[in-house]
Amino acid sequence: MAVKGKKRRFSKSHFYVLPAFLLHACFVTVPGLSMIYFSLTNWTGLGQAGFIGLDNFRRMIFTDAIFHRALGNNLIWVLMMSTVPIVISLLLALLIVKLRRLQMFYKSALFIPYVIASVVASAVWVQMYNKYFGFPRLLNTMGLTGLAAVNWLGDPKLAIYSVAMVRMWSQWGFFIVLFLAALQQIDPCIYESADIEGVNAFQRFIHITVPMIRPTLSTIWMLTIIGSFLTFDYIFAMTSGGPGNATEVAATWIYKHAFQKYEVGYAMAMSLCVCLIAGGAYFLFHLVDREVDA
Amino acid sequence: MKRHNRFLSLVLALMLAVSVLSAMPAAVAEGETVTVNIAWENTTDDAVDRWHTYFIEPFEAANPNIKINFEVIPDITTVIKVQLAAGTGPDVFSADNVDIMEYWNSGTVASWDKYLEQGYFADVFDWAKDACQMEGQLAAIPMSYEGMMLWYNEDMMQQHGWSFPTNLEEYEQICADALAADIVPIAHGCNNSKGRNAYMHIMGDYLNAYAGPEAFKAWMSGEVDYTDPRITGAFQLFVDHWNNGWVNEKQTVSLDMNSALALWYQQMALFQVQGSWYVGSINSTEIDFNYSMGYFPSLKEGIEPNMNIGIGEVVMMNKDAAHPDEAAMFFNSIYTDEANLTAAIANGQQILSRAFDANKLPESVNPHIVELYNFMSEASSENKIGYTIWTFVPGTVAYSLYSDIETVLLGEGTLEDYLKNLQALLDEAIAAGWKFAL
Repeated sequence: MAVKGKKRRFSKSHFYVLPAFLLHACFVTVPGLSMIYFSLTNWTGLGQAGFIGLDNFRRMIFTDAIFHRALGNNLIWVLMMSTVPIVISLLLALLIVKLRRLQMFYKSALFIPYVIASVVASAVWVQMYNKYFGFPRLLNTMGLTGLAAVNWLGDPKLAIYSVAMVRMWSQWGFFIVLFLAALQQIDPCIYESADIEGVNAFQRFIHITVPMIRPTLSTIWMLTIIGSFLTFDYIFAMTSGGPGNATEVAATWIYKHAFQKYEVGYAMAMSLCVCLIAGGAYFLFHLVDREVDA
Repeated sequence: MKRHNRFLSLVLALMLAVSVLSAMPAAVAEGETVTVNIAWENTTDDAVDRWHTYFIEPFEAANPNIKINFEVIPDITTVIKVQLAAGTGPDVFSADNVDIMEYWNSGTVASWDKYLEQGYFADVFDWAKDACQMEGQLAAIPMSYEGMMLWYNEDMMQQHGWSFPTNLEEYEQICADALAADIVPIAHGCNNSKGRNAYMHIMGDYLNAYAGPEAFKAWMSGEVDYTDPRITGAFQLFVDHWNNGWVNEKQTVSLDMNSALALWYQQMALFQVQGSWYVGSINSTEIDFNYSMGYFPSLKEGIEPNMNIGIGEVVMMNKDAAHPDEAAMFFNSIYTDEANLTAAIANGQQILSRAFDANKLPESVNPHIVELYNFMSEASSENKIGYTIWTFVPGTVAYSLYSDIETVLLGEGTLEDYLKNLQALLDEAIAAGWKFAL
């Protein structure tokens, strides 16, 4: 009787999940699997797709230097996003959590960039970087002509960092809110006993704060790493992968091949590659996280 | 609980059925109104208003059983490709000249030949129709007729005692003098996904002004290749001038076109390179200085200054169009309704790919618009014409031309490699059947 009841509950819960599963299958799983087929073709996005075997993958691995550069830029993006905004937002959260007054004001003010649409933020920052009308002009009037002459979005060596700065600026408000929530969960008694034991601030941070907020930290890192392989909006809106191909990332290069160069088959092959890399990064992170947990 | 679950299943099933059934098109009975769906590239509100006022409403008034659904789609190329691949899409849509070959080869668009046989589009320039041919058939209807010119700030010229350049020496001198006077010689921005193709505007000028239209045509026809010194020289000169800071002080890589034009409007730049589409801005932007236009100067002895001509957007027909005849009728009416066409042009619409007498424009029209169209007429009648890249170069070559030039400008690649790549793409396109239009 108990087994029969368990079976009934099993089929009911699946029934309720079914519509969402069907939608997911229709719009995510099936197109995702069809990507494998189309990556083996020379499909232009229109008309019939011609099977060409592994030619796209050979081109991607051996010939396409810009794709290699794009992956390198993704790696730079991962390294930047998984360090700078997290460190800054954690430090700010540690400061804000101690405030008795105006905590809500600082939280809200720092959160505002996160709610600004990426395209809008990009358009604003492109103007801020503008040599003639943006802050370089202000620097010039202040006599900082060297700094004013820097071509933030036009120098191939700097452009990716200039765009990354905008992304970080938009993100750390969100991380601050997450860290604040995690910090506020820590029982103050733990800190009090640590104080009694004579623990200094640094030791308190390393041995109490960080372990207690580790689940939040792990989640943020995981989302950041996976998100960094998919980054597209800020780069496309601010530089379109330029100057030259200096800020090209996998997503922008894939977009150009799919929608501007009529090479959808090749774009699919690159997408598959990025999927595998992002998936691999996630599993690696998951393994490391589990080891640290253990 | 069982009854509750059954009720829930029924509701879900009904919702699914309703959504499926509502997606099925209803059959149109004879005598009923038909709706022609037109998708158009991103454009200004003013332009959309002109479409409605001078083309759509008059057509609907004359044809009460035909409704025009004119929809502006940002990033139309991406959207239309997906729709066509799915077997849907509007009846007709705007596209770039460079995209005609890809659409045609995919088998998703229809020929307009049967409408030519009915006498439609008789006034369209022959060269424009030729530029839209694929496999001997008219694959698209050319719309706006474009010409390139060099715009300049007259007041600034006068103030500094400069005169409009007509040859390389004068051009180089004025650019150097402007830069020395802390004036941006040529305002030009190419940073953003759409705007990067603005390199085509100025590089087309260099090709036609240095190599000359004949060499341009010879290259595109496969008679000469990129190693021809006229071709290499044109590109090298552009790279040199860019490196001198004459093209927006090397900021083309970081400024978009609107930001670059702001320099011109703020009187911080002497020249700007724009085509006849600038009529839209002439009407809508308050410019408080005297300005005019001229031919891009000759950059080599023996090459006459010329105006590069081309087609702006083209109209293509979905092979599965529900109402192709009505769509063709509408676009033919745009070409043949003289009164409304003249009124639209007087209000900032670009001229079509057909003859137009600027003297027909009313006296109230902005004099710069009249000046522009008189300039274009003069250039055409005196055969001082060159070829724009977006009309007379295969799509794949044009794309690579404007998207890869920055690697050369920034010293990350060589001009030789860049041109070799363009040549390879050109050879491929010619082998696949692409032909120079004239």
